[in-house]
Amino acid sequence: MPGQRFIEKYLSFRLSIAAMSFADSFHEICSVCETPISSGLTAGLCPRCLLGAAMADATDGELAETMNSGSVGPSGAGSLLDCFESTSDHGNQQTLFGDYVLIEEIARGGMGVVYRARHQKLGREVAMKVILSGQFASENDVRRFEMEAEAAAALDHPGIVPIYEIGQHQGHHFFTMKLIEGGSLAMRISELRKNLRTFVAVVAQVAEAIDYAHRRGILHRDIKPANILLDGDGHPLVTDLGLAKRTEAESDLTGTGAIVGTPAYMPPEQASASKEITTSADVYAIGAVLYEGLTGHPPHQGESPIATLMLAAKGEVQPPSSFNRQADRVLELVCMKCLSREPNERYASPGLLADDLRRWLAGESVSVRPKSLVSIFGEMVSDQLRSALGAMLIGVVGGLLTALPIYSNIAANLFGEPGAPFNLTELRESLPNFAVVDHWWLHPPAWLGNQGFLVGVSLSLLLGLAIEKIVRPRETRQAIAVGLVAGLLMTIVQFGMYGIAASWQTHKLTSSHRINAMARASLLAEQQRQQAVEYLFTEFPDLRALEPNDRAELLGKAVSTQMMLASPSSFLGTLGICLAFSIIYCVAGTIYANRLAMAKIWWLPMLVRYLEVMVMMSGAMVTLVFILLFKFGMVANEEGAIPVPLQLFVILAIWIAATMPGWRMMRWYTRWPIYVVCTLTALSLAGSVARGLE
Amino acid sequence: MPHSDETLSQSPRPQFDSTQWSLVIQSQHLSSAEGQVALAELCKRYWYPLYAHVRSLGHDLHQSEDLTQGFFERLIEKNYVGDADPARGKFRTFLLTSLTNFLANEHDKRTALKRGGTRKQFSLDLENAEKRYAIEPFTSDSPAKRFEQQWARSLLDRVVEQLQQSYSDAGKSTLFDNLKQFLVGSETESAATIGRRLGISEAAVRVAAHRLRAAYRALLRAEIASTVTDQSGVDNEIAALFSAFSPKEKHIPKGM
Repeated sequence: MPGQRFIEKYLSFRLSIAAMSFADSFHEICSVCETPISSGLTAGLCPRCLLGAAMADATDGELAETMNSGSVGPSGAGSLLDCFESTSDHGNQQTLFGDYVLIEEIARGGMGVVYRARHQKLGREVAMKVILSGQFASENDVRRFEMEAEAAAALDHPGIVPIYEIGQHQGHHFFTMKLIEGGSLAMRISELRKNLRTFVAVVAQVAEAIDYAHRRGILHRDIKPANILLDGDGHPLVTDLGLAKRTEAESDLTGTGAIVGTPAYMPPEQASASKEITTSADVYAIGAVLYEGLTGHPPHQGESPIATLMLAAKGEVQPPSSFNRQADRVLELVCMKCLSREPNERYASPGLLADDLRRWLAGESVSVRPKSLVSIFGEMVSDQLRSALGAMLIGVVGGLLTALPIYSNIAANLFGEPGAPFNLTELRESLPNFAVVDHWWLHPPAWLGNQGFLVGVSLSLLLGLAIEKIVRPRETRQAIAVGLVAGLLMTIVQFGMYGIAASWQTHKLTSSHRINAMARASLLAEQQRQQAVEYLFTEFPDLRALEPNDRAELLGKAVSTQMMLASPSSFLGTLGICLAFSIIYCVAGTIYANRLAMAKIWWLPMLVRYLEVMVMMSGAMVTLVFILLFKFGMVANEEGAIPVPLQLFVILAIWIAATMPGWRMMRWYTRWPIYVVCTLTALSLAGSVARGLE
Repeated sequence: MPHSDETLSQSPRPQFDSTQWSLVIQSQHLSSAEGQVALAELCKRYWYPLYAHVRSLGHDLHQSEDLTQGFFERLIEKNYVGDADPARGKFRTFLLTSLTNFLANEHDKRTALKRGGTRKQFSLDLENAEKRYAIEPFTSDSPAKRFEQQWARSLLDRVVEQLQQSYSDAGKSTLFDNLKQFLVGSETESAATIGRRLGISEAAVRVAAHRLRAAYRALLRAEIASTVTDQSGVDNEIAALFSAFSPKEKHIPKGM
């Protein structure tokens, strides 16, 4: 049973950590290789020596003696050279490797060690790159190593270090290349940048060499000063095609997703492994070398490689003049064009960059123009504009979706439908001279008020998701901001329509029957008039006690006052309802959609999760709307407005609680039972409230 | 009680684990429970070097706990392994690359730390991590190199502990304690001295030491094999981890 094993292992793991943590905090230094030994770990043995012991041939039982004989010295030259020594027949002072004598180690890279070596017969000194851990290399290491050599050997250009030989010796893969004696640009950059013209000429030559490589279908992908060697005359030669990739044949060894290269000189698309790396990544890196010449440091500099990588991924580069006031403005333009965040805004090829650098050297004008104010403004605005337009669009659409059906329903009920209490057509038939315009918007189509409501509410469930898709907020703060703007616009649009309808509704509920009675009391024939008057007396019993002269005036005042005082609460209630709609659908919806988008879930489960939460939120919203309706006296029976039933608050709390499993990103088997329990509880409570009202 | 030559000849047989990185990679989408358990198991073994790495990048204790925990949750839950390129091989490299990506993302959206939800799916005992971190030897090496060192230390500790365990299970703890110096070759005592103390011949001590080293190598190779995709990668990995402890490189042009 895997489960059982898992638990056992987990327990033993906890115990081992616990035991470790109480170990004495004293730690020693290995007497052989001076490596610090962690106390409490590896039984107090030196980790380096432990590994060294395992590196020697496993069939040889006397490896410990080999280790002891000092082959692992403090020089740290590593195991490879030692390995040759032990296998070499001429074991004296010289280390032989095939036809070559290894003279010294000059560099060490990710997968290879570079030696200065001399060909025994030709007498020529070369740089020899040997794959680390030679015969033990995995198939992939070998393939990558061979590709590297193959890529470099295919190139013949004065700006690229030539490859002499590719081979294998006793299972160790290697290649030899021209030995460049002048050191790398990394060592000499501070000296070279003092003479800007010389430096620019070097960069131009590098750009030409890389342009040549690109035309042969090879990307460098790790251009940096350390990979630009200088010969005795100061001519640059590009080397370390360790990361070079044939642009034509896609290799499966280093696909997108793996971050390779040097962060300080890396374009954002390479640092974030977001896009396919193209030739423009090399243009960026050459620009980064130029940048270092102008400022004295590479474009991205963090406290650690990781921090640098993060900076590179962001791709924001300060212009050289912000560090060096004397930086040449034209070169700055050229440099910043290379360092554009968008690959297609950089030079289309290193050749074009070289052309511009040559023009600068010749004192001619370059192809880059300073950015116009308009384009700077445009860039600044475009991002915000996208957010603003998206929010506006969604807000207006959301407002129409939710408010139009409600408005249509009320307008039809009051004015439009035949037999409606204020049907304008019937009114004008009876009173032909009645001065009222029968507007088209008083007769919305019937489907808008009926099916339209369901469609509108269903679609408005998706508002948050729509904002996420259209605006694509980069972080939660932006999602909240966009959601708020959309919500505000939605409220305004809703309030425009629903506010009008609600004021009609309020008037009808609070005052129309009294005005009706007053009209009948004044205009009907005697007996019916008396009935109307009696009705008014029951409505306002205090009238009986007054003088008949005062009655009419006070009644008019009382009814008008009631009408006027009903308006504010009706408006506030309506506004509250509109806000509830907007907050749930726009603000909460956007934030949740953004949260889901960041979790990078497949679209279908994402949609399901989103809809679940929005349905639960809708439950909360409907409850909130009812609470507001009660609160602002918009629910009334014959005895007048009804106070808010307290169960509604409980129902609201249940709906809000039901959104939590989704918000906390729980699994479906946790979420769904909670939804069922919450929904059933809320509905049964709502049922009891409804029965209570009847 | 003196050991006889007979007891020495029976070298304790170490137990080998079957959890393999190659297994995780093969079960690509982790749809199989087996793959997921295997990944979780590997993560349990090697979480500490990642914690120490995050910590050494300057995050405080709590951030580091959250980040490490969050990273492993994501790793296991979100099926990062689906993107793992079998050609890239090492579990160690995969973890560091994934962690680097994760930290880069996290840097931008600090907020997601308290993501929660599936917390209970995978939990690390981070409480004691800081105790261990606090007593780490200080080195001025790069974070990547320190990560490799931490990795090696964790790995070796596991191996030596298993070795020690298999000896103590066989009732040979004393023998192990006396012979363990042969694992690193720093003979502070001669085989003759040890033989006299244990009451056995010098030759018997040498044989026992040979067996101990053989068992150690087998265990180490098995452990490393569980973190790389193919057998040939084992020697590579040993060499890479060894070079992580090399003293600082000379300042020579890293030209070629």
